[in-house]
Amino acid sequence: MEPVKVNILAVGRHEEILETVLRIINKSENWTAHGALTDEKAIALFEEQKFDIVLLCGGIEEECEAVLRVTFTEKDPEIIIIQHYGGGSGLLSNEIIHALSKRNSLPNSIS
Amino acid sequence: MERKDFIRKGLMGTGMFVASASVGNVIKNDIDELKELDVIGFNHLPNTESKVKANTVLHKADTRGHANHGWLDSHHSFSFANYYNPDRMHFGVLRVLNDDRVDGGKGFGRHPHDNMEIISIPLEGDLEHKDSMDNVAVIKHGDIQAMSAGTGIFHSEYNKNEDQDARFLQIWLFPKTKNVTPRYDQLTLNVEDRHNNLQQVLSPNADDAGVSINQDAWFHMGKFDKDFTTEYKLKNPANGVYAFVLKGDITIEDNDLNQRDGLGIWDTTSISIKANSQDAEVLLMEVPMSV
Repeated sequence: MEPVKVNILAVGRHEEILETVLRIINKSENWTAHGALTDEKAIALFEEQKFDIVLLCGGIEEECEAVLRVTFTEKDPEIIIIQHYGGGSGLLSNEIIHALSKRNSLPNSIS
Repeated sequence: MERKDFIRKGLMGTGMFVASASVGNVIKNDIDELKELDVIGFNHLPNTESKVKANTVLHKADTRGHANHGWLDSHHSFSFANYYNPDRMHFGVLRVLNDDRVDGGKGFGRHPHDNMEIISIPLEGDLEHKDSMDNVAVIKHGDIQAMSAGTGIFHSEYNKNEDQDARFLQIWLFPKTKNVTPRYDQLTLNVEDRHNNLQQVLSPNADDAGVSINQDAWFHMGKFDKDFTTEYKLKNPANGVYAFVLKGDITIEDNDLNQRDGLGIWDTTSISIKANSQDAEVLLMEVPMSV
């Protein structure tokens, strides 16, 4: 039986950078990623499937980010929402690993 | 100083955001095609000499993360790529301090950045830079380059020379404001101005000495005679200073540092500096401590 992959929703406004982020994440055998350039697409994807992490990439307006954070948290209080900085491979793995390690260190975490 | 004239048009106004690729397509990107290295685990190089006090953190050179890709040999003062150490995530807004050696003719292919202030300081050799804002430049020892990646840019960096290694520092700061219009700045500094002096090479202000960035940070570089002493006064006492020894031996606030050691200090208004070897060189990075 294959291990369940960490499912990541990446939201960003720059199409080419978002594509790069998705490609880097999907190279990992333990992670899988879906991308959305618009808030509507992001929310639709979030309603369709269970995500472990939402990755907020570049270009998302402040007001939109606030709405997305509230929407995702209301639908899934355990969702991890992190800001991705750098737009590429440099920090991406670090950000995901760090978020997962913090989640797993919580008293009620699911291993 | 010679401030070079570069095209600084923002991407938002150029229509360059109309990317041709659709989500789902694969875009070739050399930076991500690096051969995978073994994952470096937590605290793989324990800092047994750490002198962490209430307001300091010491990173000895040999406790840094290390990745050797052959053409690229990189030491990471903070977690980066496949080096992950939860105790080395950042110092205030200073997120990345990479000490890179690049083989002749090799380099980083076209790759993206967003929402990061990226500073390159060449130590040896020449680097050729090209970006999606139409900037093409060669930076060499004595130059400093700064990019505000903001809403997104693509760039490449190659060792310009086929027969000589290039060494440079790659420094990333979290931006003061997210999603700014991308910009590029480069400056040729007079290295003589840092002899027994702290030469300002970066600031938040376009009309101040050095390159400017989208963050309340100030960088200074100094090259000192043996036994020279000086003091650095912080621009903002709420900031911290991360000192990185480029060459030789230096004492900062009673901490003896050697080449490529890093020392972070906060909750202070000034720091004392003493050179313990001839031509000792240091980079001081004053940065906000709140991300």
